Amino acid sequence: MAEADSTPVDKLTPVLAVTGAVLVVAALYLIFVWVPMESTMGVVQRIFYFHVPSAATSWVAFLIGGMAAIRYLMSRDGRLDDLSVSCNEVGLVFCIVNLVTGMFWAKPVWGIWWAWDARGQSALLLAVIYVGYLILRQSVTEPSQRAVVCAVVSICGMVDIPIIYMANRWWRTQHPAPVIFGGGGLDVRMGIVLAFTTLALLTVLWYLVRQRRKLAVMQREAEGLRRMVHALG
Amino acid sequence: MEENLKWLWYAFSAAWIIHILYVASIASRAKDLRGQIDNLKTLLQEQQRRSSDPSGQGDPHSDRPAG
Repeated sequence: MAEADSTPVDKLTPVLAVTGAVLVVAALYLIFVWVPMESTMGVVQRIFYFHVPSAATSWVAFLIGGMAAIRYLMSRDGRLDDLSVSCNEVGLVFCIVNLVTGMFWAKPVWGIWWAWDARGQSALLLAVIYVGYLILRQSVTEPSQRAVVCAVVSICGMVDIPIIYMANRWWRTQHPAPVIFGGGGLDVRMGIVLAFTTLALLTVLWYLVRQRRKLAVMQREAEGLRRMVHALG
Repeated sequence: MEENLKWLWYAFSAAWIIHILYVASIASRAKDLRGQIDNLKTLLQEQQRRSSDPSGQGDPHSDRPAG
């Protein structure tokens, strides 16, 4: 009789991949076909349905990454460091998508690629913090020291999220007044599409984080083997 | 209208290109790591075999030179 494989079968990741793909296609249909045209900006306003959910998804990723970092500092469980780096790296991807889509929206609407307002700058700062986080991970070679230092950076990075959220409430910004939780009067159908796209991107986030965690587990395995080879050699 | 459609197209294309590049980078890093892990496991097995063979002669039937 063949020996049973001890590796657990990952059934959730393919389910997430299919669900994420279906939700994204449905979101694209809603964005390009179903939602009404915004009267002032016209068709380019549809970038909003990807720009804002990308920001929200990156914040969720960074918050989970930061929470995992706090728990890592309390427990020193390497799996929490894996979760933290995975969330932060995938969060950075969504953060970059948010910045890039924002630039492609700003150019036709404001006439400039980048407005140096409080919200734009704090969002850029968030991306810079997590780029620094990933560079730091590469530069510290000792695994436990790397995990501790990066956990501290991850926790500090989270502090920027409420600043970005509140930026257009606290300061005069090029970005418009809040339309979601600020009484801005968003059309019901626009709100539905925004919520649906956020759900679709959160599913994609979940899938990507799971894939990235597998990589983190493999990295730890490779580091462990390297240490063993070094000790025996 | 057409001018604005261009920017919408650019924004959505850029978003998906970034996501696709990231997925490709995960796949490429996973492939590299799998190769590294396999190499390290082979190296470790060789080292363990050598350390369990005090004569240092290795396998006499092997084509590879010992030690």
